[in-house]
Amino acid sequence: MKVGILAIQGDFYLHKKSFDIIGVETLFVRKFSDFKEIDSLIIPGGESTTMSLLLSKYKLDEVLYDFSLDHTVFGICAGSILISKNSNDKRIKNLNIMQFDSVRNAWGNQINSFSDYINIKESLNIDDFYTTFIRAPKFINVDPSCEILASYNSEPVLIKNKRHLAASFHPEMGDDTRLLEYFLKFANE
Amino acid sequence: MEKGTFKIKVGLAEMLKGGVIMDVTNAKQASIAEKAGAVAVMALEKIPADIRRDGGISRMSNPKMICEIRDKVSIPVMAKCRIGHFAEAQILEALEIDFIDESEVLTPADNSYHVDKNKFKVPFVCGARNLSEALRRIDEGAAMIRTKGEAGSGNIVEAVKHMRAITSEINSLSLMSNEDLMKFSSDNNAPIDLLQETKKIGRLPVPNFSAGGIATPADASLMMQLGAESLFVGSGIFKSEDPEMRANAIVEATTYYDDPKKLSEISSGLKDAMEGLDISEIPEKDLLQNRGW
Repeated sequence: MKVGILAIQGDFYLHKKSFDIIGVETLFVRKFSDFKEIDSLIIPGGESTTMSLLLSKYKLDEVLYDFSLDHTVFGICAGSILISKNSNDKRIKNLNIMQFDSVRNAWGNQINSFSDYINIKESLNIDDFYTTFIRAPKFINVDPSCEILASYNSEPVLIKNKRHLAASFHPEMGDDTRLLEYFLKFANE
Repeated sequence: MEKGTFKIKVGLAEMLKGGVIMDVTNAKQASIAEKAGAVAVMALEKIPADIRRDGGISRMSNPKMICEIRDKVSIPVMAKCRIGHFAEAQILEALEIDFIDESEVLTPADNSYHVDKNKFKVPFVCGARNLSEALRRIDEGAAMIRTKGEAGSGNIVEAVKHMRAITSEINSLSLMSNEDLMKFSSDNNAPIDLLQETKKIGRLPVPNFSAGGIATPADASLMMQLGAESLFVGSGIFKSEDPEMRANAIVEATTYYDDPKKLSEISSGLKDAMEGLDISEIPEKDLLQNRGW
């Protein structure tokens, strides 16, 4: 299993660090040929406008979409915005990989960024998961093709469909790698 | 629930990695920067090259202008306060600015104290010329360090000097015993606990960005290859003849910094970069990097 980490912009090194701790091989993905070498893909946190612009400019958006048809992709924060169906924002070209809409910076500016425990569905066996939201998006209009795996204050914060995952928080920040391990298990199914 | 912790502050700095933060002086420039792929904008009344030219006292920007910029873009907005001017910082925090730059580009307000940044919920970035200066700022609560370089000069040489100094000092820590660290700490006025942490992890405890003199895609590549994790571009964009194209080219060069073939394509077709200054032409007393300590 080799995990690709989209390395256009954002906290891709933190993801590598987490997978190094777990003991899984990773590759920073920046060009077409990189997609041939990976089994799954992380779209990390960062600025969704910057990533969207460069993905379109280098036509990586099309390759990424094709890759998602038969591989697991996990979009985190900015990545979850890109992976969603629509953000109602002309600065973003959504990849439309998962059927929900995202609202950018919906929890407020940086001063409202926060850390807290989130409620994760029991079947994942991840209790007491303390995590961080940085200028995070909210997920709305979640289609029945998606399942809500975790919520915070009644807002969905972790969603999956048959093959893909989206999180509005940062499972790569800090030492708790349980959710990234779940992603690996999910990608192997 | 926790807000404004050091981890959350550093968290935003992590999100800005591999990107370009651009100086803008109005909402129109902010919009150009965002469209060109900037990860954040720095709102200020005058870009450093004009501050240098005009002289006089340079202060925090007018909150109205900062708000116009904030309302125009969706990316994080930063703004500068004077060194030691905690009241300006409090105002910027009240405006819910995403990041505060306690900056040597503005005229220092206090000759003895920097802002106690640990007291704030909003993250701070500060400039540094070497490891000890960086660690003093982190000790005060800075969540991001940037090389000072020489702002508004269009000359990369000082940013290179400061980045190399930080890197080589970090490398030299790995060979030091605990006694050596204590001596280094007292000789250079560097907090010992942060020195020990830096030695252990082999890098600064917070993200290390570069600023001061970046004017071309090649400059961006150079600083990234020297270890910068992101770039601040001030005068380099809006003092050039083709701000939109240049902004976009520097963004792309930051992502593909280690791909010379792509860099050659990115750099083709740009018009003239900003006019630069030889550092020796700047009188010692006018060097912005010597502000702060």
